[in-house]
Amino acid sequence: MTQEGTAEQAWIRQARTGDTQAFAALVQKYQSAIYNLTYRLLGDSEEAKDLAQEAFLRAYRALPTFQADKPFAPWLYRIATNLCLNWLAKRRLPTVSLDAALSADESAGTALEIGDHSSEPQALLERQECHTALRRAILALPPEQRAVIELRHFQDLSYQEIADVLGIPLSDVKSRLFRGRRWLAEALREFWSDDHLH
Amino acid sequence: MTTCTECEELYNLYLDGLLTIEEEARMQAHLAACPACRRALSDLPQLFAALDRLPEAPVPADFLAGVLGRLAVPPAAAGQRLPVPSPRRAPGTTVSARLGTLRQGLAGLGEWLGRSLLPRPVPRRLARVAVALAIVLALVLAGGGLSAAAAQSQPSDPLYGVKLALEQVQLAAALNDTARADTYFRLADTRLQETAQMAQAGRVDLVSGLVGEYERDLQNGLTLAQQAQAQGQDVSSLLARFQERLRRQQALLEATRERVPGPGQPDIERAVNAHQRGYAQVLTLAGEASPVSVAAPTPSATATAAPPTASPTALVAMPTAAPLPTATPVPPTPVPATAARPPLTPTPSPTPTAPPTATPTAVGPQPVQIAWSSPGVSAIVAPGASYVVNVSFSSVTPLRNVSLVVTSPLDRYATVSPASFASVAAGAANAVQVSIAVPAGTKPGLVTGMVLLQVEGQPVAPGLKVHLTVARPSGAAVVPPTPTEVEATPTATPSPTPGMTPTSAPSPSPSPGHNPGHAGRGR
Repeated sequence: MTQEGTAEQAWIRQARTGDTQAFAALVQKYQSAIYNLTYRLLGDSEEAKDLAQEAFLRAYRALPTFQADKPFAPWLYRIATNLCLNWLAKRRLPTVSLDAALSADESAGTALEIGDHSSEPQALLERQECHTALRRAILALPPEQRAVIELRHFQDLSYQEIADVLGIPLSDVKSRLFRGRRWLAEALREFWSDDHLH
Repeated sequence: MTTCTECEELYNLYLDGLLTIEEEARMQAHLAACPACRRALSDLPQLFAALDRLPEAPVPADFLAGVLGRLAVPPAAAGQRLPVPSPRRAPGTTVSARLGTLRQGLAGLGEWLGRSLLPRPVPRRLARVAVALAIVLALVLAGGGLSAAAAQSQPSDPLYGVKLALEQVQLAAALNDTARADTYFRLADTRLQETAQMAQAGRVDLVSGLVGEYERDLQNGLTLAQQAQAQGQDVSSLLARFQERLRRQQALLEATRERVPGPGQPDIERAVNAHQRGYAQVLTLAGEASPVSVAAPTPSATATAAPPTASPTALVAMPTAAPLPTATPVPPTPVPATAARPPLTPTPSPTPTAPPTATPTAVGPQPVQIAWSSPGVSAIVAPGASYVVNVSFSSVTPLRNVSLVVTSPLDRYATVSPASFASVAAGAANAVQVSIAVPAGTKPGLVTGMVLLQVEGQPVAPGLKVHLTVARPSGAAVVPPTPTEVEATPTATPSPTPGMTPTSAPSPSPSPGHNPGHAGRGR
């Protein structure tokens, strides 16, 4: 058991007794992952914030049913992902919020590229274009493929964990993941063929 | 014979590090013979890298406060779950059931109203307003004298439900967090008075539910006060009012404790603990606020013995047993010989009735708030090369005994310098150098991990994410190489970092057809 895991289990135990302070510590640990998950799945920062908060709220209420011997993160991702998928199913029209994608990259993109020595303005611009295109492409995927891409590439879940989170067979995980990747690669081909190193 | 469809699947699995040697050989053979697949799949490694490098969106500043604000009712702990009310239950038999039913019903109504009026999830505040309007309408229809009579009702009275509904109206009508916090504390007063009256009347069956509500109202009030303070509001007068109420509650608890029949005593002890916790939190908050008109309590041994990290910080801090302040110090109530319980006023030694959340467990909630200059670092380093990146972190509060650790398996490749800070000043940027060295012969793949800050040995979120892609060794590849955003100088020699040994033997067949794999996910 890592120290991090021990701390998390202590927070979970305390939060189950109604200790909101301990739950606040859990929120602090996972808020970035959950907010970014909902943001990438929904493409709208307001909706993402609302559903991410709702996910934590539901997790808090469901804590008494959480099996303490299981990892917490996939359980939390399941709540957030299913909230988003249900929400997307209710949305009448799929929306791809390019503005939201742009603003996110503007605020986070340049700061993130800390290890990049080639931070000339032109290179940064091209990289941001690539990030924006990638966000758009992810949002253009069917929600079920989008969710699998999210859980695999951004939350680092295994195939089996994704199957458990989404309640689908392993074969469906693979087909959605591979189709989604193929589509994304095609959507972004123009960036790579132009020798844009992003 | 491997088909193109199978090859695509194999290649995906390969990038995820899930192929057996035999499967990899089949894939390689197909790729070598199929230019179409080589072309079709050539973009995937670049897609992986692009996904890895997609920046994280910053979390809205008020995110945590919003979550806490939406926590209306804590989850019932095992054994404390509210009983499910029966529709035929006689009125007044189970206060907790009635309270629970009413609040759930109101919350449901508000949610329903909100969601049916608006196309997206609505803020809880709107839902509360809808609830208030509904209740006011109901009360008007029921007649004006009702509310006055209800306000005087006791948990055993038929009108008690109306009293609770009126309280919800008051909560909903509160204009801001400070007003709502005040209301919650007033409700806590009311619940405690009812507790005392029910205990005196011998209705021990009602005491447990009332104490539960008392705990929740106290906690809700405190959470709102914390929120208001975190948002920069002046909460000093609010905290002074809290203290005054808590002081009066203390006297009531002392008296009730002496009168309650045996079966009700555990519930009263629970209330005493909640009261002590609440007082400790108020003191903590007051310690952060600008000079408050708070009667400075005499520091107790437990308070002064608390380590520096247990001192109040922005959101979560709960001293174990802060003294109960009284304007005029009240001596501990003499404890009857029959009772082994401690006096309400904490003694310098930790009281055995200290609640679980207040005991110094191995890992308490960390109130520490830190931020990294970047949420993550992404580097592509070839075997035999090294790479150095500079980042920094800052903390909202001053910290002591800070250490930095690299999580496994990244720790085989990355080290941080400095690895510890004796102290960290609030708000200052603390430079940290992350050095990555990939030994020659390391198999290509993805290694993810974190640089984690520990304060007094306890990890603090968020960590600095590190995505290290061990690049393919130089040589021809079947699949075009992944473009590198952060490419280490290939001429560099591996740093002679202790413990940095190759994680795997060189690939058994580093044929020209070898490929860029993301074997590091290892699932």
